[in-house]
This record gives sequence, C-alpha cells and structure tokens, in this order.
Amino acid sequence: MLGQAIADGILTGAIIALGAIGVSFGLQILRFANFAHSELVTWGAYLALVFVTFAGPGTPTGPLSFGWQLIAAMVFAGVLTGVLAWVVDILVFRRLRNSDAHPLSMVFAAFGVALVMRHVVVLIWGHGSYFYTRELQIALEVLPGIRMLPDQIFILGLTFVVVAAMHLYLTYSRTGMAMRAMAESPSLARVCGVQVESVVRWTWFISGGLAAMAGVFLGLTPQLHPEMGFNLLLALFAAAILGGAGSLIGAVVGGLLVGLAENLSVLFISPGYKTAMPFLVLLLVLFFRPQGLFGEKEGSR
Amino acid sequence: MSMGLVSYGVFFLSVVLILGIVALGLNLQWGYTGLFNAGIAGFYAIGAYTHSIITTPPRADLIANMGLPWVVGIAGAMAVTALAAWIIGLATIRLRGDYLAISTFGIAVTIQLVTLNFEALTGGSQGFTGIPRPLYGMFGSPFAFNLFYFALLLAVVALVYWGLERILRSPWGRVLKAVREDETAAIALGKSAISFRLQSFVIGSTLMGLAGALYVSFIGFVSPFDFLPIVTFQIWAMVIVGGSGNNKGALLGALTVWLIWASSGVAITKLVPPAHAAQGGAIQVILIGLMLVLALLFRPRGLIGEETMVSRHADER
Amino acid sequence: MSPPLLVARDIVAGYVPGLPIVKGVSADVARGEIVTIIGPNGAGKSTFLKALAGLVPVTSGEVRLGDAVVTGKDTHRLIAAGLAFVPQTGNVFTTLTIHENLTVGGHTIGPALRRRLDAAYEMFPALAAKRGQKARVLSGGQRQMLAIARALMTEPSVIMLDEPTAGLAPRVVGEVFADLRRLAQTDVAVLMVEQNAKAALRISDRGYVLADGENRFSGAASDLLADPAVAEAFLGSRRAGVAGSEAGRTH
Repeated sequence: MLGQAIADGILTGAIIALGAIGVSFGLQILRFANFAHSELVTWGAYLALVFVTFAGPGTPTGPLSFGWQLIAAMVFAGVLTGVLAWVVDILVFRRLRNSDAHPLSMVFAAFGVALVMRHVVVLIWGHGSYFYTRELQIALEVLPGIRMLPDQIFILGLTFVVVAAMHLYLTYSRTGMAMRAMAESPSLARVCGVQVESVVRWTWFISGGLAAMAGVFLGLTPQLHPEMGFNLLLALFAAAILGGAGSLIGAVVGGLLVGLAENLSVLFISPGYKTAMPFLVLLLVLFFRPQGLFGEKEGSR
Repeated sequence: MSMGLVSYGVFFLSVVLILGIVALGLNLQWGYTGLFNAGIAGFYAIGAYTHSIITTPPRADLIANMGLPWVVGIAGAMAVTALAAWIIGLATIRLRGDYLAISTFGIAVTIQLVTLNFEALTGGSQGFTGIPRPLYGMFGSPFAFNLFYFALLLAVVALVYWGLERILRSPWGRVLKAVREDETAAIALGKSAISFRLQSFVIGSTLMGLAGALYVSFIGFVSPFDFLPIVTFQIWAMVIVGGSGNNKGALLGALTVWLIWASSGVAITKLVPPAHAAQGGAIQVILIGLMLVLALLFRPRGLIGEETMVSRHADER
Repeated sequence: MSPPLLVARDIVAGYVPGLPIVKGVSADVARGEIVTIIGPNGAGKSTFLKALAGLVPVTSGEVRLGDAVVTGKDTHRLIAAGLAFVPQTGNVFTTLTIHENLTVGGHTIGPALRRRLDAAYEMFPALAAKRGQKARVLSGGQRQMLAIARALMTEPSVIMLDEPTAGLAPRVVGEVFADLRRLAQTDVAVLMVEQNAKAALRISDRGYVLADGENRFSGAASDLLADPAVAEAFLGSRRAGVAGSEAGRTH
C-alpha cells in the first residue's frame, strides 16, 4: 500500500516536474507567474493526438502500448508547443513586457491567455476524453507489492534522461549559461552582450517542449481531456516554488515531493481532496521558506 | 415592453449589482492596493455557503444548518470570509505579488473541492435549496420580491460605494495609495505597509463574501457550479475593462462585461445547435479571455481610467 | 594624443520621457586615457554611463564609437562594437561560478573564448585559484576584480566603470586603480564615474565635473585637482561628493 503510493507518487511527480521546469523558468527568467503554462501541457498532449490520429500510435513495441509513432508524435508536439509558447509571447507577453504596464498585468494576461487556449481545445475537440491507444497492458511487479505499467516505467526512464540532458545543457552550453545569468540579473546579462529576446525565445521553446512532454505522458496515463493541464496548475506552481524559482534540479525535486504528497495523502484523507495537497505544500513553503529548497534568497524586486 | 422583458431586466440588473459588489472588492485590492487576488470565486463561495448554512432550516441530511435570521447570515458570511482572507493574507501578503496570486488561486480550488466533497456540510455537487429569501412572505409574486430585492441591492451597492469612497479619501486610503505607488514609501513604512495591505485585502474579500451571501439569498439555492474559476476571470474583466483604481469604472465594467456575457450566451443558444452546446459555451469563455487580454494590451486604463493625478512612473527606474 | 574614441555630445537621457536626469552632457575619451567623471550625488553621472551603454534611453544627443554613430543602439550591439560596462552594484553573477561569470562575459566572442579565459586568469591570478567557486564567496575587492575581468572578456576598446571602488577598503582601492592604470597602458580607453574623487583624479588623465545633469567643469585631472572652485565645491575637505550650490564656469 505504502510502497505502491510511493511508486505512484514518483510517477506523478515526474510528470509534474516536466511541467514545473517551465513554470520555474517563467518565474525567474521571464519574471512572471505564467498561469497559461498548464495550457501548454494540454496543447502538447492534443498536438501529439493530431499526429497519432494520422500516423496511428504504432504497433506496440515490446511490453509498451505504443510504437515509434508516439515518440515521433511527442517530438512533433514538443516542437510545435515550443513555437506556440513563443508565438503567444510575441502576441501578448512581449508587448506587455516592453510597455510600462504594471508587472502583474502579465499575470492577468496569462490567465486570459489560459482561458482562450483551454477553450479553443474544447472548441476543436469537445469536452470528451481521448486516448492515444487502447492497447491493454499488464502491470509488472517491479518490487514486491509494487506494480507499474510498462508505459509508466518508460515515462520515468525518459523523464530522467531528458532532465539529465537539460541539466547538462544549462550547465555547459552558451545559451544555458546565458539563461542562468538572466535568471539572476537581466541587466548584467545585457551588459555581457546577452540578447535578452533570444534568451526569452529559448526559454519559451524549452518550457513549451517540456510541457508538451508532460502532456503526452499525462495523456498516456491514461487519457486526454481539455482540463488535464489546468488540473495540474497548482501542482506545477507548488513544485516550482518548493524547488526554488529558476532551479532545474529544484523543479524536479519539487515535482517529486508534490507528487509524493498527493499520492501519500490518499492514505490519510478522502481522495476527493487529493488535488488540494499541492496547495497545502505551497502554503507551507511560502510560509517557512519562500525562496524554496534550492532557490537563492529573493533580491530586491 | 413585455412584462417578461422587464422581469428579466430586473433580474439581470440584480446580478450586475451583486457582481458589482465583488468588482468593488477587487478594485480595492487590485486598483487601489496592487494586490492580485486570483481566488475571487473562492471568497464569493465562502460567503455564499456560510450564509446558506446559517439561514437554511435544519435538515436531516445536512449537519450544520441553523435556520437563523437573514441578517445573521449576512454578518456571518462576512465574518467567515474576512477570517479566511486574513489567514491567507497573513501567510502570503509580504511575498512578491504573483505568489499572492498563486495562493489565492489555490484557496479558490480548495474551496471548490470542499463544496464538492464535504456533502454533509455543503450538499456536494447537488448543493441545496430552501435558502430563505428575506421578507419573501410579504410579497405576492416573485416579481414583486425581485423588485424589492433589486431596491435592496441598490441600497447595499450605494452604501458600499459610499463607504469605499470615504475610506479611500481618508488618511488610511492615502497611505494605501502611497504604498502602492511608491516602493520607497512602502519600505519606509515597513511592517505597517504590510498591515495596510492586509487590511485592504481583508476588506475587499469581505465584500466578495457579502456578495456571495446576497446572491444565494436572491436565487434561493446554492451549488458549486455558481462558483467556478470563471467567476474570478469575469470579475477581473469587469475591473480591468472598467478601469482599475476607479469605483465607478468597476461598476460600469460589471455592467458591460455581464451584458456581453449574457447576450453572447443568448446569441450562442440561438445560433449554435444543441449538439454543439459545449463549443458554444467555449466561445463564451473565449470572449472573456480575449476581453481581458485585449483590454490589457490596448486599453490598459480601462473605459474610465484611474482616478488619480499621481503618475505610475514615479517609482520606476 | 590620438583622437577621441568614444565621444558623447549633448546627451539628454532619463528613465521616463519628459523627465531627463542627464540634461545635455558631453564627454569623450581616447585610447590609453583614463577619464573620470565626478560630481555630487544625483548629478546624473551613473545615468550618463548607462545611457552610453544603451541601458537608459537617450532622447537627444549623439554617441560616437570610433567612426560609427551608435546612439540608441542595443546594448549587445555596443558590446560587439567594442564597448564594455561595469555597473556599480550587482556586477557579478553571484549564483554562477567565477569561470561561468567570465564565460558569460565572453558570450559574444565565439571561438576566442578559450584564449580570453586564459588571458583573464593570467591577469588576475587570484581569480584563477577560485575559478570553480560561486562568485558569492568573493570579497568586495575580488568581486570588483571579477567584474573588470568579465568586462574585458570581449577585448573592448572602451571600458566604462560605475564607481569601481565604492565600498572597498583603502588598500583595495589602490589595487583597483593600479589595475585600471595597467589597462590604460594596453591602449584601452577608460571612462569611469567616481565618488572617491581625489584619488580617482590622481590616476586620471582628464576629468569632468557634473552637477544637476549638466557639465560644470572639465580639464586635465591635475588642473581640476588644483582648481580651488572645484576643490571647494566637489572635492570638499570633509568628503567627496558633497553638492556645491554655486555654479562655476562651464566648458
């Protein structure tokens, strides 16, 4: 029971982590709480659905319920969602950033953008649920008393690989370093010759791509619906803030902790309240350690 | 003009007045204090449920109903909402602005979960009916009651408006403005700047609770589906379209946005076949989202604009 | 002396349109020269430098760098054109290592990065010893050293520094000034703003005195140091940076 809850928590946590990375970058590099980020998760899932609708989910490979087509769909969705995020920035956020509007009007706008994005999904696909594949899978007993579907194990593995790659990218690449520089001080980054708009663009691409990946994983376990991202919104913010805004490792650790909190809570409280757990975590963090586990103390702002 | 239309008009304007109170509450928080409340639907729901539970007569399937007088319900609704706002504000108001947004958003989600899941208290997803309407027995017809209630709402809105204008022009209101406009003033005031913000946040939320109570004792039943997150976004649209930092603007915004919302609803039911009702509803919500974004981009000062001479630029560096 | 490399003419600049902080300031600096701008608090010295670096909008006037007019150009273009700027505060990335600070400093230089890193470590051996550590562990003087090393990564022809010795211990002030002198020896043009007016003018070739966003005095550093009007109003015997009320002659 406990072991299974932990395993489920880690899986949920991995998906939350992928989404939380973008939220965390948004808070620190783009300097606003992007409440539309959850809709990138949803859009990523549905864009992959478009690909799967045409190409099919592929013949199940080994124990997995899908074939290479779904991986291709994920890449397709990742790229398009990254571009979508950037286009929204050009249409809305960049204009506000460059105007003398109140900084929080970005957050208002993000909510507006989220409303539009979410309901355009309803407009196109309706309220119903979709599946990438209807293949049935048999859970494997990975440890005594702990069962996981092969797809879930695949998700964990791929998440680990992608997060590790992102970490290397941020640590060693020129753009990654510029992103971290801008996270600390946009004005000093400018003085170093960093082009702010280019870093912003990369941040959106990466955030959008990872959000799409989270969306595909959510859709795989097991279905897509228009509120799939929105329902994750608090968890994403709780994870990003718990980890410390701007920290990749923080977002991942935060995601895992929030996922665990959600799934372990079921042992103590009614499952109906499970989705309130991220909020509880969030309140505790804001109260006791607003800079998060891996964050720097908030400077002047 | 047909009777039906007049009757609908009275109903429509009553809803505008109730939402107008919420918008005035938000305007105090956002327009005058710069506080970002993303949990309006939550505070509105707290007021509504508190009032319903206090005033509805006891029933076998609900544990807490009290059957107390209307006035007690109103006072209780405001008190409980104030308490909730105080607790959440205490934890988060000293943090950067968008963290308050996230926390208040979380409050709304949590309240929604409670209303859906704590059936013995809230009636769950069905909600419950039988919420007494004030002095309902004195009126011969629903229409007469609606007229009376409309007048009552007008009086409440006038009172709230007058009260807000008064406190905003008082020294308290001037400090509030200084705190919002000028980071240095806020820092110089230190702890007391936080307490001013907290007071404004609590007062604004209390108004939202009041509006929730007025709403349920108008329609006579309470259900979680009247307090979905969309309410929050509608109220924002009202304040931003009307012009934040201006109480007349908030009320004008309430009328404008609700007119667009209601008429787009009517148009969609007429034009969209019932099989595509979901899409029709989506269009209605997209309109609210677009209104919000477009107002921010192209008319950031709203229809009326802010009632102040102080430049927002003063503190920017 | 060679012709001036960086020339600013009648610069008007400020954060908010209609409220200029810099109200028509002119200054120039040539290769191998150290030029110091002094003046009371609020004179617009910092804003002037930031305007030249493209960080504050210039509403009128002209900035020339070499043969090119660069007024209003984006900061990253100015950096590419040979300008470097060391802000007064927050001039290192405390969350990045020293090595990463220098690498970000060389963001625009491409394959030359390796060579420039080696050069930076050669010039500042103290930094080489700590290259893997976060910049937040550095002392005030070392931070300033890192900030200057970072700015030099692009091999600039002009370096502008905003109060490079603010908050430093007197001995360290001497070290920083010595570094700047060495830099000028390598034909770099150095333009700085200083509160530490006397000490700064002693190592400078020329100086400008700003007040209220306008030029007040200018001339050879030694002349400014000797000028009683300047000394009384701007090099005050109590401490540097006390505002003088009487207007002097302008140049």
